Amino acid sequence: MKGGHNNKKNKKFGMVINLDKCTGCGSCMVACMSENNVPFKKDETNKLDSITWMRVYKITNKKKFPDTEFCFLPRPCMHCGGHGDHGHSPCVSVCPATATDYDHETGIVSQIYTRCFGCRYCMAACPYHARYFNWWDPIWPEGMEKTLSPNVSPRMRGVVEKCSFCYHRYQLAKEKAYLEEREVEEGEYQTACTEACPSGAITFGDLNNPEHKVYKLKKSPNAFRLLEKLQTNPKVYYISSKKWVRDAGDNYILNDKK
Amino acid sequence: MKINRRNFLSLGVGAAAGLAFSPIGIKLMDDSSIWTQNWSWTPVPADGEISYKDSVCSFCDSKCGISVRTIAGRPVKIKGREDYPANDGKICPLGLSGLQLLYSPSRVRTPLKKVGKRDSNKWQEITMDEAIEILSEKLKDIREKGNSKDVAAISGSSGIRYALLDRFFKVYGSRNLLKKPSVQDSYKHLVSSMHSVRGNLKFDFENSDFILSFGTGLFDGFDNPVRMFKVNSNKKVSKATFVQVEPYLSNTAAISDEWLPINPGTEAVLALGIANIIIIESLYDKDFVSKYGKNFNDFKSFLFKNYNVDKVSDITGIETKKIESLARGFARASKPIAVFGRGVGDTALSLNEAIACYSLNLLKGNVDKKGGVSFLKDYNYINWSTINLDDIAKKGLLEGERVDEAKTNNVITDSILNRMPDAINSSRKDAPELLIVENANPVYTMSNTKEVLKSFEKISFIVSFSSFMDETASLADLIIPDDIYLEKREDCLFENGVNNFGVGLSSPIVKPLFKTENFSDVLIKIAKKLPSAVSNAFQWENYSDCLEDTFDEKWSDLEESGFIKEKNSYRYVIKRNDFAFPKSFFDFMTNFKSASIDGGEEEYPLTLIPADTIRLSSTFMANTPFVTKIVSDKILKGNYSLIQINSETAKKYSLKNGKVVSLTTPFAKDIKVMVNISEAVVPNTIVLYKGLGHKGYDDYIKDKGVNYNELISYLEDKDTGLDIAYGIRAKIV
Repeated sequence: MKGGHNNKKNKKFGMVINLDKCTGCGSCMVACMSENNVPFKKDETNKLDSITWMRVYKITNKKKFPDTEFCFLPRPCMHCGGHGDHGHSPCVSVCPATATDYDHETGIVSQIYTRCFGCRYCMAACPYHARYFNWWDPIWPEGMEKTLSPNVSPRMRGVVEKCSFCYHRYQLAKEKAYLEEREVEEGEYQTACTEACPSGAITFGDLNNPEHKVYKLKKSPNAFRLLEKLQTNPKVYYISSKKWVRDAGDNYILNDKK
Repeated sequence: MKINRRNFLSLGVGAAAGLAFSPIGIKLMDDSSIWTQNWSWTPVPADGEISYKDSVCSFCDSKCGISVRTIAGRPVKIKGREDYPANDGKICPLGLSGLQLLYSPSRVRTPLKKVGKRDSNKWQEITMDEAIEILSEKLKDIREKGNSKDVAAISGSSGIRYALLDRFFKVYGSRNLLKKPSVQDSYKHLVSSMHSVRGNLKFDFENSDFILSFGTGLFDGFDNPVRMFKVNSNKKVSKATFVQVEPYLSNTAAISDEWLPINPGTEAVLALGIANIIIIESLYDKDFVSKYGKNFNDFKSFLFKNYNVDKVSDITGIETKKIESLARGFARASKPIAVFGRGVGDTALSLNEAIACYSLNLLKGNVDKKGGVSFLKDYNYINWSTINLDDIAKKGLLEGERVDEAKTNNVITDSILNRMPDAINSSRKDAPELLIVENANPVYTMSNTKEVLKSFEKISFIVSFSSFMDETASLADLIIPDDIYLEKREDCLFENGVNNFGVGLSSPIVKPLFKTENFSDVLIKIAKKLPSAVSNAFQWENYSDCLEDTFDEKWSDLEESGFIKEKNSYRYVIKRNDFAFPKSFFDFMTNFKSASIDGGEEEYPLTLIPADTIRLSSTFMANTPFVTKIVSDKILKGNYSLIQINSETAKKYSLKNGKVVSLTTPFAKDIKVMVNISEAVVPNTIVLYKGLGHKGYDDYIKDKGVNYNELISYLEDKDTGLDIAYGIRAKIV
């Protein structure tokens, strides 16, 4: 519970994704992979073992032609606060190696690769399929490892990885702010996907800070979270003007009565 | 101590408690996970100082500004450049993954000379000087023999690079500088035939309140994708209406307000049906039409006679009620735009169909206005000294014939590349002695690959300037690899920016990694090795010198800021007084013929059509590994392309999801594809995504799926000569 009882008000970083603006282009996915040294294989068509911290799902209203509709839904890690927002995220609760931890200061669920021994309990526990296992050692074509960023350590075979809300960007921003003896500003800490989205569909910030854009956006009448019934308390909110999309957000058992 | 039951138990409990409280278990577990992860082959990226370098992305013609993060000089990440006028801070997924091009395994690392047969794929490594020597000797010989007209080039460039090549061909004495046409050529034809001016058609989506798209992939990569994404985001705020008419539910259709599924190839008929309703219900702009429109009464009776709503409904497969409400919605909007050209605009549209759709803009008088369509002059920043032609050059230009049979008097269609293979194969034209290919990959991007390959066999010598081992490069006799855009300084013309146009300057992020050289530099070097008639036209020492000379007093500005932005927004570039329209009249159309689709309905009961997604590059540049990684498994699975087919149609042919079937068209037999049953396609239609089926490049894209161009042949528009091939008849076994 480090930082859990700090006098300073804790931050709660989160995202609001406007699905009405998302065009499904995939820029967020590519920006994320490039930022976080995510590896790639020659065949990535088996999506079960294809590592994408951010994944854009294409969901459908399940209606027959010609009434079919699609909606694109980008899914990073939800950085769940767990029941009562106490930090009991589904994955954190089950990790036997403390390789994943809840940071009360930021609300970010971390993943420490060198502690992980690959039992994959967390993957089973995560209701959002946000976690991925390295079945193989990553291989970059000759020379391409030069494009890897030193801010994120490359992973190895046998460990689980997932979206970190680009935590290293927060660290860099914090260091800079500390030197200049001030707080980190909203624009200084933005995730790679937020920065890249050409449609401006993703907004990132401190959900606890009334000055931040996300604070207001999450209160939109069209805002919802995924599988809210599970009380995982995700920090990613979605906005959609379409009712079927909002309904699909909690559709974890088909035909289940609300 | 005697070991009895009591001692044994207490020792056991003690040991268990000790172990439980000691850190050894945790420590061992931690250590073991660290030991088993410290592999020497897991890279540890070197740390260093972070800095950002600005440049321009040249993956496509949008030429977006980029900002590259470097760590100790090593580029690690690309993002959009904030203050760049073309893209205003953002870029597309391909642009984001540009660093993967630098170290791509398919890069040509040194000039290569083919050893043995064309298709042998055996190469000899040579130096850049040797390569330049080989090519310039060839060019010298051909010119001396008086055959300068037999040198051809296929180019996909713009700006100074293209101007240099064009200048070279003029002084050398050949008219055969060819380009692959796109929907932009259809737009130019339309503007020329309707309003008698030379210019490109531009749509002011930003300020329109109703956008009716006839199958245009507005949000799948059309125009400048970043500009279009911003249009979409802003529309959601301003509540403008989007209607997408398309045979399948593309991304564009999915995020539009309404998707109207239409039978393939009948978009223009719908446009005429809508025009008919607008006229009958008297919803058109009467002032505008009576002031500028000729033939309006003929147009009216032509529509009334041929395109009543029931007939249109029959042809298009859209209910009459929907057509009527669409017509009214369009007509009642204050600034409606009808946009046309299928998909992202890789292929041209027949002039006839374009005019049919364009008529809706004319009926509403939403032309040359804010929120409407307008015309853009070619942006020219290159004014070099005039050139002197010697007798050989004059002879070549006057007597030489175009290998693609493009007419000299038609200034708009300056290239009908699609006609070249047939003209050569049927011996109507002699194959060129020498073909130069740069910024192009015709073997992949042209329709009917078999015919293209056959015609290439007859070309004596092929030189490729590709940076990558693409399909055309692997067939070439000589490869002189170009630097990629992250390694060179180059002018980058952007004509479809976010609200503007202009020219930018890319600058090298890294020194060339391999033995490559900027095409423009190589061209100048070659010209200097040729007789004075050619070399005199290239007064510059090298490309850098040429750049500075071209921009003259603007150079320091360009060098400093990285771009020159034209003051005017492009929507108002051609002012009313600048050209014939609307001072004079335009003619409404009075006849219409749909473009035909190859293949008999009896033998081929289904229609195959192409689809575009921004996650697949179908241009001369193939996908990067990151972008291929995010392609849906409903489009590519293993090495199979998936065909999208309606559930009813699938039932009719007893097709199951995931089943591998044989697809046959009049031009390709037994192509293996996988079935994806989808509710997002009109019945009796097969949808296949473009951008797959590469035979070149590297293992991350090679041999994955089917190239749509192999399944079709070119289809010529009778008015313009452009290749307008879109769908084709097909069957599944």
